[in-house]
Amino acid sequence: MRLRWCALALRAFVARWGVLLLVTCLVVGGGSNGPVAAVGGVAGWLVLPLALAATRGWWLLPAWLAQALLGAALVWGARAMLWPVAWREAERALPLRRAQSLRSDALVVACALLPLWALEAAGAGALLASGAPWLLGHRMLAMLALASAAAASLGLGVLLLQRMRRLPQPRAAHCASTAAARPAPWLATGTQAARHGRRPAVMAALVWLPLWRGPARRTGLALAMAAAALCAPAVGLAWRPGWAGWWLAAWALLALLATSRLATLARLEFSALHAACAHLPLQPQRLQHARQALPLAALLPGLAALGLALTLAASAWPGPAALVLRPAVLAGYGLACVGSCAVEACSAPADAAAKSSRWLLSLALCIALASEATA
Amino acid sequence: MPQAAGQGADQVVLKVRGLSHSYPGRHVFTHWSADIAPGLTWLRGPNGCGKSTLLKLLAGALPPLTGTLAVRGVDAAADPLGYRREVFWCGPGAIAFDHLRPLEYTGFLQTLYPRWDAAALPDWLQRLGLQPFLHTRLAAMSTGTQRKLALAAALVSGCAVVLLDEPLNALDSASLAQLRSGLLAVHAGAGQAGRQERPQAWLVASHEPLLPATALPELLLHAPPA
Repeated sequence: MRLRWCALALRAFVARWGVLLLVTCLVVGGGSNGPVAAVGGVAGWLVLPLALAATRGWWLLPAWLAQALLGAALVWGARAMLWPVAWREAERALPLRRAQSLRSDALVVACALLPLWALEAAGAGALLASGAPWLLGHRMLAMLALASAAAASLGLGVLLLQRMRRLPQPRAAHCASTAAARPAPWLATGTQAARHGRRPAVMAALVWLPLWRGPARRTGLALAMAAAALCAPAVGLAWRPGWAGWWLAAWALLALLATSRLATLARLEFSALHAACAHLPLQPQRLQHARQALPLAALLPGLAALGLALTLAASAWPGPAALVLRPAVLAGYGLACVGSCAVEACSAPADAAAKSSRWLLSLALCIALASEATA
Repeated sequence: MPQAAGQGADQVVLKVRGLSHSYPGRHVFTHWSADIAPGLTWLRGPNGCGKSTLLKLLAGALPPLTGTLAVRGVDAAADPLGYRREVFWCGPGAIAFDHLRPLEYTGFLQTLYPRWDAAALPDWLQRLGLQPFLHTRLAAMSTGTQRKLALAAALVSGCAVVLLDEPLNALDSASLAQLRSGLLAVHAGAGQAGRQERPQAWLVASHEPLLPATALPELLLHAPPA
């Protein structure tokens, strides 16, 4: 039953994205020696880093990890098709043993990873057939690493699906550890609250509190992680100002990824809560605007850190020579990044293909400006 | 056109005209009109006749297909925010804002309803046995306890119209007695509606008799044709 569901979901996925995949293959093929060569190239590139790492000792572990994470990322991307969250309660009610659940997860994850494994096998076959001299003494190790990375992908995928079963429901039943919980400081007791006239503001009750103890806790965690991650390119810029273009491009990519993900999460987690406010004397637009502004709030620390790092780099603080900036291009880059993120945060849920096109266009614009921001 | 509580057109609190609503493949109301006067009105009808839907429509939680709603002259379409400030709805399910604690929940509602009676709240919290739960998150409370909190909020909301959907469900006997005493006070107050500054209209949907020994104005809904 589960395999049939997954097959249907995957078929619908391919039907939806098939045209885009075909066009990508044709474009890549047009730039190389045809579609077959393009697919061959992709297959080769899938195993080449691991094969190279096998010849260089200590590089093997990170390359192996990256190879395993690639498969796990695919499973994560397809998780809604492999185990829909709506099944949670129905599945819990079934008399299933843990071994049965694990076996069923392993089966669907293996099915999802099959195309990747086929490409990797083709790449490995092509690599072995080429008889590359640098690989001669390390063939066995490279193939062993590839096989174990594939197995690790399978294991990580199964772990991911098992973990999804333990995540709280969107309307979270976070009952534990609440009985002895202390009241919020501004609401110590009813009489105190009445005496001081302090009441939770609407935004606190419906936007901020849900982020750390309500139904939007995943959004809250993602917000904190995104804010931290967006400071990383700024640190990189301070460390290696010479690579400013790369750091700015990385910041744009991270900002778009974070905004897109946060907007989706916030929409998902706040929708039930905000729909329940329909009968309250509240302006629905206020809640919508607050929800849309949340992803943009994650950009602020990163923007500040990036500005500081650029100022330091332009004043030659970390290195021997000052970085020469093009202020107009830099301003355009900033505007393009913030504007693209604002569009991502505020746009209504659209067709996935349309969203991807908009996303790629924004990214291309930001990267182009990032590459020209320094002289 | 039904006229509940029978106090006369000059004392109408909630005026409903030409209300229509339908779910996919099923009409629930077609050009339904009513005048709701001050006091307690028992909304009755068989399962599926649209009692809960009607209360949601009157609360502004559902948009009607056609029709107008007005509380004391405040029109729901012209001034939706002003209308909703005058109407308090207590649904049949759990409270949606279960990340809050009771005092946070009531404090949050207090910011929304201008005539909220904060002084009466502690008394109702005590009468409904909610004191031990004041610092517990709503998510950790039972359905009955959440229900009592929602009813306490309804009792102190001070809104011109209070809509309760199956308020007697999931209540223990002590709380049931307290709620009935509150409803009785509302009913008794209706007799003095002319002397009250802002008489309230309570529309309560229930399969059980609200006040068994008391004759109440009723609003009877019939099951829509299949």
